[in-house]
Amino acid sequence: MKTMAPPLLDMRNVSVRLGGNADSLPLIENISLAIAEGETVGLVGESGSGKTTLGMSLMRLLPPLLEKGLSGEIIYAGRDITALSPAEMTAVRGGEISMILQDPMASLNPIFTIGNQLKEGLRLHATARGTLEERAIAALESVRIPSPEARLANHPHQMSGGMRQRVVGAISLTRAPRLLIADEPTTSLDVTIQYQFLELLKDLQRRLGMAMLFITHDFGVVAKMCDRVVVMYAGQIVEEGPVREIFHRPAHWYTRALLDSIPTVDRTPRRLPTIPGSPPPVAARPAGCRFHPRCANAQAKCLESPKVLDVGAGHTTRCWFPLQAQRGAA
Amino acid sequence: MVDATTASPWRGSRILSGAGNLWRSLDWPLRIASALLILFVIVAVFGPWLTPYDPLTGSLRARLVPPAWQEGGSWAHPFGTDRLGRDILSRIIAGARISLTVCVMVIAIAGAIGTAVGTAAGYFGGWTDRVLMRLVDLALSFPVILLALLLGAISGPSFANIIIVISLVLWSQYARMARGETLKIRNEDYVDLARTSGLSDVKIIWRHILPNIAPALIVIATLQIGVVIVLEASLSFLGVGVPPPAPSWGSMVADGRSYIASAWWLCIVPGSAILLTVMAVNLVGDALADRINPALRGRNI
Amino acid sequence: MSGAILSARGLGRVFKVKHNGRQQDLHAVTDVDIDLLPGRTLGIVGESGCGKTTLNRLLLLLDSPTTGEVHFEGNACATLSPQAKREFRRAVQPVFQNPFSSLDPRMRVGAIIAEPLSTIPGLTRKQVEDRVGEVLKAVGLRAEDAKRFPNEFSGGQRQRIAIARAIASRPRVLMLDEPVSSQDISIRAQILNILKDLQDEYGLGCVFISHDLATVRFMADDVIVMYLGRVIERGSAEAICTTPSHPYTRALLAAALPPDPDAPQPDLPPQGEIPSPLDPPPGCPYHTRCPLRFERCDTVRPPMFHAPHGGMAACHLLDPDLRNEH
Repeated sequence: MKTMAPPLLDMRNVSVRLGGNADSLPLIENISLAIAEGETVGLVGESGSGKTTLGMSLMRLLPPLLEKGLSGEIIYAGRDITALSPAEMTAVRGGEISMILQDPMASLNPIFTIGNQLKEGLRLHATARGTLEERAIAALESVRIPSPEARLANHPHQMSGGMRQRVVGAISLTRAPRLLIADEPTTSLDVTIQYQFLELLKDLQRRLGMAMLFITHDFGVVAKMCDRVVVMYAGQIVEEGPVREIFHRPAHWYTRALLDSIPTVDRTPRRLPTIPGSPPPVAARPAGCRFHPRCANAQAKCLESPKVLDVGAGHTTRCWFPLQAQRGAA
Repeated sequence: MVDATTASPWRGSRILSGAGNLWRSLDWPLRIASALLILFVIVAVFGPWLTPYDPLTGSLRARLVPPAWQEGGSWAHPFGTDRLGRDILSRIIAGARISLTVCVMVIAIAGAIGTAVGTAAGYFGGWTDRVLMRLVDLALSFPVILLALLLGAISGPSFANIIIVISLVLWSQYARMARGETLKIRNEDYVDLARTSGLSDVKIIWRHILPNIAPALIVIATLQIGVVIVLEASLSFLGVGVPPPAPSWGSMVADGRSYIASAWWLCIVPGSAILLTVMAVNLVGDALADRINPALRGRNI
Repeated sequence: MSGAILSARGLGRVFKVKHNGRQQDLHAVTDVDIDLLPGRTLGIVGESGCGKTTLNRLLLLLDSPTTGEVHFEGNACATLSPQAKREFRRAVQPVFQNPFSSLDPRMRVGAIIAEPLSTIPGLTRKQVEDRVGEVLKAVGLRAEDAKRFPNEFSGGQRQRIAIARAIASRPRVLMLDEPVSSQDISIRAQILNILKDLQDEYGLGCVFISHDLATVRFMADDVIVMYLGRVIERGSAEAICTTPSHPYTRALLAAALPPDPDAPQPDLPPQGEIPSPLDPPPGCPYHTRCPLRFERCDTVRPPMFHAPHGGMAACHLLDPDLRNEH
């Protein structure tokens, strides 16, 4: 089980609103989330769940309007990074906290060579041995890019999507971050390339001992990569727990319904179980439990906002009537 | 004041309140520009009824009267008179009509031809595209002033000539723009879906391509108004535009050339009219372009 | 195969492209055979560069093949009379991946859905309106939605509109190109169910293109796997999705991550990069990435052999002569 050391990242009551007033629409509300050293936490949700907003708020990369609406504390390694100045935050970002986004071209400059961009990152991390050139090649090797010497002279457009994402990974890791935030890093990649990239990330994480926040909508990726899972719906965390608990004994009706609706290669049901309706838009979130209009088990009490209940070791859910039965028993 | 929130059956009230909202959303330069443009159109349309004097005849006794605020001027001729005693204000008003007429005709003709050529080139691609674009390049490389002078020399200055000449210049620009816009949406799935629904190419262009490129083309047309006005003024200035004694703003400037030192208002007043109109058109056109662009994609962000 | 409503023989498409300053041939699709039977779903599985999008366009007659032929109800599509072509257009309808690009933003939903009906003579306005309302309800929307514009709908709803449009003319074949890949998980299941229901109700033959084996397993009866423009394996959906023979398909299966943290490690995980279709490897197109390759794979392209699961796969390992040698 986890150590009792203080978490590397501790979000307390974080909300992001569309504007500075207390009554502006909240995109995410009262999020409390902790990530321990070396742990991989999966953040799953659909459109409108707020998972990307959460990731962006961690990196303090929200657009100005949302930045004004950020409240709560984000304690990283003992410091509240919501209180940092932009310059201080820049020093943290890209260094101790690094990120990989969905589109590698959002992180790579199309005009400069790969070597150039790698070296720029390496220059800032002034410890090491070897020339910049040697270290750049070593960085490319660490992400398993073949013929790294030749690749240094390539521009991003000369590489495939999977390669580019690896280069972004290499750049992100040049400063040996303690926390990597990956926001849908493999969604735009082909499946066989995705598989290899995820294997690479896992390997790098083991070697560097870094923690990871993996934001995705793909439960297969979560199952492969994560130690703990956090499920978001309509701006709130609805369930949180160790990965096996979430997949085999989901406590929230949304989590269970979502998992049931995913087709797998070994089953051929006549029809897939579905959740009626669709996730609510930010402006029209239901009162009380936000999932209750779509929930098979909705009851009168669900019109009251549910409290977060403990349903197992490290496993909590925001529901009045959490599921008890084991999933997949049929 | 009509309250926009009450359910009024009169459609006009909704239009008024919509216009009111639009006015409120504009910043001051844009408000002035829009007002100027509206003034321009009103003056141009209602010109003959607004002119205090006949723009074509003057009284030689009242030659070169300065504008009202100058010494020697009077409010009988607010902008003064020209060398033939014709009232400048009336000529400015009549000139607006000429400018607007030329604009409308040129943009209609050049726009229609250019859009047809550009859309065909963009939609069909291949040889059609190559041939049509070479034609466009040819047209673009024509020295317009030379052509105007040539035509003027052959058949003398006339209204038709100036419209033909300016259209010949502008159609190729439309064609380029239309082709670019067509290329942007030609690969959208709904075009393919129209084909799999059995629609002919012409029908697809009419139903899907044109309505979607129309906003961009309208913006371009608006910005072209300024170009047309300046072109018309330049050609008239050179003497190969609208034939005298028609009071085109350009020919007014030309007339006043030799009097710059003594009777500066003969040049400055029509020149200012050109300047203000073109600036207003460009401001409004740019604003339209900004507004139109996000809507062009039609997506729900 | 008789009874096939849509079929292709030896289908190929070569594009001439300019790459690195030279004119090159891009073999997008090579030597593809397809048979689609009424009421059955054919899954086409593959990743980038495999040619599935080009194949889809060829089967929809949006593009002409360089070699081979497409047949509709036994007739060659290259030489259809205008009447027969109209019939084809009515009978074969696509649904594309991107619901934002599929609907003309300037048209109302009702007009969009009615478009395939515009080439059918003799329909009154009332009949068209009724049909539009009917199909809107069939996809879980309301008849009143016909008056609205596409930008008033979410991605999942737009895809339903695209499906409603596809079935408006009572087609016999639906060509579905990654219809749910860009949707949320909870919406995917809804749309897949709708597609299955419509298929049952209308007796449709479907072609379902996807990169996800799990979705293909749910939707398809028969599956072909494509790699660099060629069919490298074919069989029943069950066979391909549970016991594939071709190493590439096995890599695809390994990469189809199941939502189960206790899933066993795959025995043949994917490796290597997807080659560019402009520069396909000699011999077996997969040999550059195949952990099971041997000398023959580098130089000789394998034909289709019979596979243990009852279908076929283009892999030398299945060559009975080779097995006899060892």
